Amino acid sequence: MNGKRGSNMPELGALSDDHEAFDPRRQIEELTKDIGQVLHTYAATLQMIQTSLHPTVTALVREIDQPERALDGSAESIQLIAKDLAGFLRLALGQIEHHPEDTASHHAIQRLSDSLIWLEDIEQKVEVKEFRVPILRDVAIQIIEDIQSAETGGVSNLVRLEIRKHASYLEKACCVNALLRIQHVILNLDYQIRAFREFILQPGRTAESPRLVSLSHILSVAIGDIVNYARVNQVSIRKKLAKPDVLIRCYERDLARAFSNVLHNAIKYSWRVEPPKQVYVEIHSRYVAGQSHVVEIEISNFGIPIPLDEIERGQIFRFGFRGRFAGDRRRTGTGIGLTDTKRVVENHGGSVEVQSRPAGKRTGSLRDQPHLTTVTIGLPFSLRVRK
Amino acid sequence: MNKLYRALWVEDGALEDLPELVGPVYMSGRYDLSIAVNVTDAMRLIATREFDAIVVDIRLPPGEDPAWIRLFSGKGNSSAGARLGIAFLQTCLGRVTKEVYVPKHQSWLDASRVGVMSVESESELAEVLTELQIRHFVQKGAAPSRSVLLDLLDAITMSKSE
Repeated sequence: MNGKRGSNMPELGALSDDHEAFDPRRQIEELTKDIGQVLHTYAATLQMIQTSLHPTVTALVREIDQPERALDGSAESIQLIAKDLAGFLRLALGQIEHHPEDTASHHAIQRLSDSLIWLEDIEQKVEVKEFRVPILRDVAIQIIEDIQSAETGGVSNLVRLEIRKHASYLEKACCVNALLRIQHVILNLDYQIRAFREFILQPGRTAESPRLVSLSHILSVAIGDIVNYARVNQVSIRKKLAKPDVLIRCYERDLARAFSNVLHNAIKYSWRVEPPKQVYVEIHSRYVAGQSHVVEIEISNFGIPIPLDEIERGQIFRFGFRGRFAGDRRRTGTGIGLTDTKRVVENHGGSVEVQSRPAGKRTGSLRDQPHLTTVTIGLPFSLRVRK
Repeated sequence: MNKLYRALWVEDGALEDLPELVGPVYMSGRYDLSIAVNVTDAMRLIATREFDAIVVDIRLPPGEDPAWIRLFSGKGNSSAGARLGIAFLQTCLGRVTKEVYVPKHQSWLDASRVGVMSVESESELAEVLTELQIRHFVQKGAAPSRSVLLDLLDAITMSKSE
């Protein structure tokens, strides 16, 4: 495979025509296009999975929902179904008149007794709450198998049918719970892939002309981009914008993405809380005293800290950089969001600053100390909107 | 009554991505399973009790111990780049390298009690596995069997009792 190029230069990205001279710029362009295509395919695949999951979840919920009480894949519903099932199983085990002689039935009845203990004592037996639902699903499947195979003399058919029905409800509710978790993961991934694709393909796009766009419109586009992500993470977005609105001469698509990146981070790194408490990200804008044509937009959230040294050294803006706590509790990312935001904002003559300071009750460790993180984007505007 | 083995699973995705794998382990009734989601927690657990089987992921976060955080930061704050699972295994199996922290080797802990379950392939890790004499390995694929963790724990405990 050498000869025509006259060198041992490795090939990059898409295979190039062997007859052509090696052209690194062209190779990088091709590679970029390939990556963009792959990312596009990933985004489309995620969308396909998402659109298929939704009716599947709806169909399963319809199966377990009951007129007298609404049941779904929530932990509370699963607990209720498990309790009902335990009641019928206890009844059945009490009705068995004699233990069967054949070994298979004997073992099946022993397993049904074990299953009853799992249903009744799951919280004591399994400390980690994330493990309880998958274990209950396995218990449900085991009960369905055992109640069919065991020779249970004395147990009425009605009770056997109720056990089977409730075990099937339990299995389905646990499946719904798992599917909802998958939906969550998909929405988490979706933004990352779309933003990465935007970033990768941005240099190759035909440059749009800058135009006058209102700040409120840009923020609406940015919020629209992450609204599903915010919903599944149960984060609300609160907006307090200075009046009157302003018009900014900008590349709308890029500037909206710059804000989406920051909003996405704010949601991702917000701490989760148990209802009825609510998590929110706040967007606040104000005019800067002494600078007649600058507007500052602050985006704040409570949650994971950004260590001071990472801010002071400017590491947070470095391409591909992921902070010490960025991977906390399996949060994923590409490390390009803030780099992209800074570049876009500076292209518009603006600036980006980040602060992260302790908030709430003091704890011993930095990782467990909630921080108020604020990203401030300063942008020059052209004029204020008159009514 | 069968023996209840003490097992430790060191895996940062145990709670979020892979909780389905623990069902068969609990249901088998053979294991008292502990979980560590980072290296600091894993070091703390093996310092306080003896385990019959330990299954370790390779791409692990450091947790709160500053020394592990330094090692992690020095490799770009990335689980994939730092591969702290290797450093963790070297540390607890007493293979001290210049970058590995706290070689506090537990006398009960040897390679026969350890298995690795990671996204890396066996050939990718061959050198480390050979050096550490770890015989039990499973690659995490896109469609893992739900009993993959149980099977690995069984393989470790069975080979020990042979």
